[in-house]
Amino acid sequence: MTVVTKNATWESAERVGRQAVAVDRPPVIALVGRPNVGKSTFFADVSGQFAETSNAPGTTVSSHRREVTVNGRRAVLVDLPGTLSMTDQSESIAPFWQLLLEAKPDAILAVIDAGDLARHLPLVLACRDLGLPLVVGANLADEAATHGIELDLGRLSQLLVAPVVRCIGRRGEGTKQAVAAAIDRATAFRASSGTRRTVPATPYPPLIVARVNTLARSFAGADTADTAAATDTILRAAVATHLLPPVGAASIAASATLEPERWDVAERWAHQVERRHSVREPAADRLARIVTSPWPGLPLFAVVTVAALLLTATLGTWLASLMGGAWSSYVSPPLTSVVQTLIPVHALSAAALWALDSGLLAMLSVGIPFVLVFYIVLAVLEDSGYLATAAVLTDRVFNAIGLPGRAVIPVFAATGCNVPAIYATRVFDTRRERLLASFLIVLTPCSARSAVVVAALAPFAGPIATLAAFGVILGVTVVAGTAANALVPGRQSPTVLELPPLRMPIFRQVAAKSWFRFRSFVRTAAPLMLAGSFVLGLAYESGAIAPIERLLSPVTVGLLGLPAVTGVALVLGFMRKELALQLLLVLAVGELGASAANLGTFMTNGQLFVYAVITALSIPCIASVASLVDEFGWRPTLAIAGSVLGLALVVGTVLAHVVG
Amino acid sequence: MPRSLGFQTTSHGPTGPLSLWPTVGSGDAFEEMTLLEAAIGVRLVLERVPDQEISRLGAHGLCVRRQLTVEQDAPLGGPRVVRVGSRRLSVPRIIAAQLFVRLAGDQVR
Repeated sequence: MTVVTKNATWESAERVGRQAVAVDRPPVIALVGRPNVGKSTFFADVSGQFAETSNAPGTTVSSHRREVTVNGRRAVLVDLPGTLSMTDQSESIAPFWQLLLEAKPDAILAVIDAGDLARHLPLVLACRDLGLPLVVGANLADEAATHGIELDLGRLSQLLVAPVVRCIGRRGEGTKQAVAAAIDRATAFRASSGTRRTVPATPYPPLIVARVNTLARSFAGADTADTAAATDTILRAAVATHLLPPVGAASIAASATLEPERWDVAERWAHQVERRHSVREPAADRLARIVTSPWPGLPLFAVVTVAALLLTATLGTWLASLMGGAWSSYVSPPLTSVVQTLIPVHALSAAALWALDSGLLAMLSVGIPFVLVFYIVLAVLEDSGYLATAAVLTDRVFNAIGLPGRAVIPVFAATGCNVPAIYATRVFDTRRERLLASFLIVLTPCSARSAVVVAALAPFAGPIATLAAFGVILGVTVVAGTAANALVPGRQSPTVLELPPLRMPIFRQVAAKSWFRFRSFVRTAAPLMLAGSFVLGLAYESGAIAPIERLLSPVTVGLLGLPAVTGVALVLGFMRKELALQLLLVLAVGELGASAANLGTFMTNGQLFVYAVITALSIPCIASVASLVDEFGWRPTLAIAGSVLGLALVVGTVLAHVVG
Repeated sequence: MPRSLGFQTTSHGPTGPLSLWPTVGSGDAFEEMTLLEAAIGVRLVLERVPDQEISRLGAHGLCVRRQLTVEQDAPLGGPRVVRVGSRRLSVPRIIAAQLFVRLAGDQVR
């Protein structure tokens, strides 16, 4: 059967039902859209649970599934990485259509920018061509209105033959309605399982449609020619398992031909449904121009960076003294009595106190306050879109390291935690760029390492020394990155970067993001800290620490000019970086007495400077190493970790002679 | 070479490509120039994109016949910031040099 319309049509629709699929399982709704259109905000809002979001492209690099209930009806929502087209791929991410098929969607919810229809419709058309039920969420409707753009959603719905729902994801407006509409369509699609369906008439020229129909016949099995390509094999399997109708598979195979047509259609349709009013240029646009201009954009960038560090240092120091003081006055004395009463064996009770008292105190005075403040600052910068916008300013710097300007996004994310940043390098086109970016990320101080630098230097050597330490780390990173760019074969591929609009961060989202990251930090760090302190306590009480310190002293004392007590703390920093300082405090108190809780009593400012820089630069923590192995394998990981360790020792030795 | 790739060729005049800087109202207004050469703040129409870049740039909305405006140049010879529709793109200079544009109709007196 063929649908006859004024336009050329896809050949009809074969049996596309899901006979093999159990009808009682919740329908799967795939969220599809261009990067930074707000899919994850949708995902988080509808599921009621936090999802990592950011005002920057490439925040989501893998698929996430969650079961949701909307209006009493269950569905599985799949948040897919942002994509520019159905065939979009990088060296490390499969073509987008494969990710979509892996999700086994019953319906697609395409999220688009209501203010930028012409650029978002081609992807919607590609989804429509698949022959799966489609719902469109016209998101960011508020921003479109500030640009004087209004959409005729009824007309758009007619053109697409799919419901279109107006949404403002950040405020939770329209998101649930869009998902409910997708559930409706998926359910109706399933209910008609096994019947012959028609797919919407196509807006493409007849010649193109004829070519796609020929391909579709091939996928339907009538023609077995041209089956060698891997893509064809996967698409045939998808047709055979009723994941896609043949014409949907053909539309993927013919993407190169269809894509320019989709852009033409998108342009025409956008003109039909957009109503543009003349409005004053939004303040966010004017501000965005200021941010990216050499003047005053560059000085502003320096001010924002320094202000972020100073805020972290000031607020963190205040919180640390507040919490540390409260712990020492109200918790430590009763805790000590209880532990000593409950554990009569001295060595064991002492080791337990190393963990429960000194360990937790170190967490409260180093890890928690600085990391928490840093996460809040980072969330504000991310959600405002400032980071991604400032990428323009740093483009040439990153070019010197063999990376495109957009590398600023994973590198800034690395200032929170290196692990997600390493995974975020998947957005780069080549393995070379991914390796170079990962090397840079490993050298970038994460929140834990920044906390060590700030907590070790700010209270003793002052804010200038703290900034100087970050300056040294930055300088070393740039030099090392430039050297790596020269050594690793290959060249950088220039890429166009989409600059996100500047937005006022929403308090609820900043708080949720900071809390989520902080909670994962505490969950990972606290057990390690407790266990590490306990083992350290046992080692100290049994006298095993001294030989280890002696073994490490040629490096710590001889090369780096640090007290011998720092050796074990530096090595244990491999577990988690903040342990390097927290365990140093624990160890110093154990060895040198209570006064050593103040680092300044047994280390000079110069030694603290060397220790902070070495901790920030040396071998990545165990979680980062695991991520590197996962992404690149052992050899590149060992090469990266080895170079970073060697670099840290060289820099530490030089610094020891200059300031030690 | 451009002709062999299917491009229309353009006379750059006796003074070379710089003679194509867009001067509103000048006789060169309908001539093509590269995006790299275009002046800041002038509305342009994208005329030609290299074949091998059509899909990659098209995905960002840089398609033939699309209107765009160069807003800024990044510091230190960085990318050109281009507005396409309501969005801004950072276009590396090496890519900008391959994109041919002309002044939009309303920019020509």
